[in-house]
Amino acid sequence: MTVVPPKNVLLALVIFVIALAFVPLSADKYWVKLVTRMFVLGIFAMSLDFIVGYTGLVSFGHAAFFGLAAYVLHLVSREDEAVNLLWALPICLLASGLAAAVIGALSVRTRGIYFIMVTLAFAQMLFYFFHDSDIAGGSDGAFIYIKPVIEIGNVPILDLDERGALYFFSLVSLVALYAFLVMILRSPFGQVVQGIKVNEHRMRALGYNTYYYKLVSFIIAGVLGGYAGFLFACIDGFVPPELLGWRESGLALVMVILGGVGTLFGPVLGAMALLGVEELFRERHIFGPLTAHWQILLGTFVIVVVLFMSNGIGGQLLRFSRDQKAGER
Amino acid sequence: MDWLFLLIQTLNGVQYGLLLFLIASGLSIVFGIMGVINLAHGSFYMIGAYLAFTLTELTGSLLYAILLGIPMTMVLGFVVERLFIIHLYHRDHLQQVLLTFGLILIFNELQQIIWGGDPNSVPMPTMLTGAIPLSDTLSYPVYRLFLSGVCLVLAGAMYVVIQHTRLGMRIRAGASNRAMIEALGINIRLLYSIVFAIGVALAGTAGMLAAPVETVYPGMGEQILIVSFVVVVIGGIGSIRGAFIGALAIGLADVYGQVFLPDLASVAVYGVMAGVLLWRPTGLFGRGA
Amino acid sequence: MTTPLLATCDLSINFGGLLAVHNLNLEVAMSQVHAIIGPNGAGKTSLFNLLSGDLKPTHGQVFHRGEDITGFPPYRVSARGIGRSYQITNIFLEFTCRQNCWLAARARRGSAMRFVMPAEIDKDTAEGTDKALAMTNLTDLANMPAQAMSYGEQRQLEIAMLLALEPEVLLLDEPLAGLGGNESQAVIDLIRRLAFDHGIVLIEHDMDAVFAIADRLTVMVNGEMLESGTPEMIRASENVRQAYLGDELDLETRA
Repeated sequence: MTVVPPKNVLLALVIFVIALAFVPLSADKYWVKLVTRMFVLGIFAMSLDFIVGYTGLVSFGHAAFFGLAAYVLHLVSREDEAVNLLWALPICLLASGLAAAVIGALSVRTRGIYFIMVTLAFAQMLFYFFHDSDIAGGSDGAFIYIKPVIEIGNVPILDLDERGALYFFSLVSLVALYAFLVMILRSPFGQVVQGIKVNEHRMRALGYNTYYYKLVSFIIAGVLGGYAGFLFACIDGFVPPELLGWRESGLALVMVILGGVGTLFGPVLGAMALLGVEELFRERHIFGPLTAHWQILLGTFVIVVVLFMSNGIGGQLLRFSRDQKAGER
Repeated sequence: MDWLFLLIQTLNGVQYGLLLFLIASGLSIVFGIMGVINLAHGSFYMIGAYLAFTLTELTGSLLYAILLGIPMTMVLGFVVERLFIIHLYHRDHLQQVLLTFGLILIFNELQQIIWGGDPNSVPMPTMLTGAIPLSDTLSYPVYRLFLSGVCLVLAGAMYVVIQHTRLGMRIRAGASNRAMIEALGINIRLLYSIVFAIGVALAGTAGMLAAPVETVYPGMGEQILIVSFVVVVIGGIGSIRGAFIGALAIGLADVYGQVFLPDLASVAVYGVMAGVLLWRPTGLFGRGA
Repeated sequence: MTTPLLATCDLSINFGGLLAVHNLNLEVAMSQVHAIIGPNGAGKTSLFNLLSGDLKPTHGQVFHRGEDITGFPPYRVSARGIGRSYQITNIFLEFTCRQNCWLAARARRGSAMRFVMPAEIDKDTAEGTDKALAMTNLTDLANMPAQAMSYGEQRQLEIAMLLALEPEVLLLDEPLAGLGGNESQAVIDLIRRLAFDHGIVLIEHDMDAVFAIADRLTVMVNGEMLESGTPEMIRASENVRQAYLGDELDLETRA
């Protein structure tokens, strides 16, 4: 588990982030949207890595908190005017947090394979709830007609509808939340949680009530997953029930392993890579008639990643950086 | 309360439960013996159903279709194990889950290519299309009784094989100590392939049997997979007895849920799971994970 | 008659018909080393599992300072000041030596639900960690990943973690297993020093060490206490000689 990456990797990431800041200036709307989606899914994947890579909880239901926040944004949004992010976002985070608290309280009692199945089951329960009921459009999905704004008093500060606004807000959020998670991982809580991942039995023998630490970890991840869901809903303004589904949860795990489990920055790169690969698989110039059935390509890609790249992009970067350091001595 | 109505619902619940038992026991056996969690298990249920559809069209009767289909699913299971599952034995849960997730994506797309996205229906075998009259207005379909009967027979066969044959003994030994049976010279590779093939055949056969009474549609695999996860969580992984009790509990909970709490029907099943988790986090008969 | 530090009353555990521990009565006082000896399979580690909370007894009780702690889960037993080391090294292989001890030292110092300040800032825990490392001569290896340490060093770390926990009762499960001459002696000396202000229960097969440091011995055979008494009493006992020590003591006198 890497909490703070070594200096050279960190430097490369900072340069990467700065370069990304220039994208909206030159690229057209389609690419700006795509990269915004990459940031948002990066937050989603990073929050999942927090529990998978640092607490040892493999959740196959993380999309529940992602999709729930998106739906709550729809429910609090109005058709005629924009809501204020300053109260809308906390409400969505609270919803995701509460859901994580309830689901977590039950799920964290289980271990290993049970935990995977139970988290999948609870997420699916939420999926059916939104899919079958007509609270929010049922299987057709729900719409967010006007993107939120940030207003203090009556003074508008940021309108997420403006060109580039959502892009920068997402990028800044990604960096800020990354720093937030690093802070938590360096704290005593973070050390305990990592200890639980390595040897939970010994942690209990040392006197830690590991149940509560795992639960809090699960809730933190759920809240951050909700943050990502809130932003995701803003990108296209459309919230389908599939956002809560097993496919979304599975793809989130793919991002984590593709990026590097337990690297924190890796899954962000994994999210970007996966979105890029999905774009690629739909490219007629390269894949011709296969693009109609790009899911086969995606499935094959997932299998290849698991078999041959299981330490992920981030893992490879860290190894490369270690070899560099060893070479220099 | 209309007792006859309740009887019909109970029979339906038992039938659904027995079907779930076939699927869940396949999942449980594979995990219990090979230590692999196969997310694509539901896909084999779906493949069974679609196979039933095509083979019934070809042969004219579901019964022939099932007779042909069972060996076909076993071969499929054998091939999938040798190509993909073999890589998972020494990998962690995350990798197992993701590789089999990749398989789901591939299977789903292949299904779309071969059969398309519209729901299909499979006709019952002509000799089983009747219904047993229970009153002036109510009767119970013969096919559903047949389905339950076949599941019970298969359950019985599984019990006999596991408790009273050498293969079963090796399976039980493998479940408790993998390294030891390797040391005893038993061909683990072949054993694992057979076990996985059996697991796939159980799911596939369930799909074939269920085809006339359930809608055959693209998402059916994942839906049943998740319910069978609930069964395994409740019953405890690696326990056939647990899978049996859990499956019946869920089958009845689901059917009664639809009758008494129609708005909360889909949640009833998860409610039972939540309840069991509060009381026994490793399931009723589980040995831990 | 002072209350013993740790005591059991008819402690038993039944594994589906196998009585791994049966009606065991044990007492440990402060500043006392109580050794548990017996052939393999006698139930010694099961006894430790019962004392540490890893197993719940099917019958009988465990008392700490006179209070009933029967059935307490491991984290509650540990929080009361009863610490355990393991026969099979049970450390955090991925972490450094220091991080291993830190986790133990921090457990002693209240809730770790602190999210903002980095863990290193806490001076009190750092001191506790350094002290434990020093007592086991691991200070120089503090930044080495545990998985890179030798077996002997890992066994030292196992004890260091226990010390960082600052328990008053130490349950040591074969601390000398697999150690060479010098390392063994270092651990024996450490146990002697610790005995002054701790109560120690020790499982060991090394009879020289046991007779050198134990104040009291309990011999377990087939889950039951065969005999309990001072080293001299046990050495002289015909029962014990037949059941367990016979060959060992003959070898000693011949050598």
